[in-house]
Amino acid sequence: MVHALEEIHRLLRLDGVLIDIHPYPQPPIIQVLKEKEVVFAQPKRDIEDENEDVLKADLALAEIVDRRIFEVERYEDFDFFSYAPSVPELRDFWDRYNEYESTPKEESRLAQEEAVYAKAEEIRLNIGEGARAAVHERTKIARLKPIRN
Amino acid sequence: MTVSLDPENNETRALFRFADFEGKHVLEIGAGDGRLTRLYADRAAHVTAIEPFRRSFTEAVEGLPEELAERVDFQNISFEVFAADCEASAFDVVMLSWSLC
Repeated sequence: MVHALEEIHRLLRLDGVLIDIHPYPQPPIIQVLKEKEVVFAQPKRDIEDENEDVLKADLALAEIVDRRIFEVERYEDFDFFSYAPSVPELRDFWDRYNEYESTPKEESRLAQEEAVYAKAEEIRLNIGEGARAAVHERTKIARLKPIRN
Repeated sequence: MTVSLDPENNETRALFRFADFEGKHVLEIGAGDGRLTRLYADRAAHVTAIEPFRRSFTEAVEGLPEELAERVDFQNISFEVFAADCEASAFDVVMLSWSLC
């Protein structure tokens, strides 16, 4: 990952910028909404169970800043929401995106996620019309400038 | 598609606050299905958007509006292979959109 960032440095012009967008390592929040009201919200797994791929990305960015390859010019957080009519539809969609994750999931983690999805869908079905599912991810965006020595 | 991503446009607004794409040569690494590419490509001079996974790459190509076809070059290639053949200082903006991790 650090090598990739070094290569990006090489590919950028002197006045170029690197834009990085990625979520926080904490698990996303699964939600059920009735119209706009959030009636269920629970992390996909234990809040301390951070995404290792994201942690590695954060470490790589910290290293290239420490080594003065890039400097952070600007940094912000924002909320990224995705919505679907049902929990299974939302889950299918995100499972497809996440199939590229390099860290394999442990069985206990999978079971925990399964339980959260099942609980959310049960609540959604009980609400009936007007209910939908959502995923909330706290996300960060950074603008980094290459430093030329 | 039944899933709606960022209908509040929080990501889009943040992206345009952080990056000026106007007339720029952009490299997007891990473009996925081209969701973000389609948002900013009309402002850029040229976009090279690389995606190593075949299925996402195909979706990106198929979902590209005709008016952006001249401006966006989707490539089904990993960054390592792409970078090995790429000359230095080729881009004004490099985007890592949910792809560093």
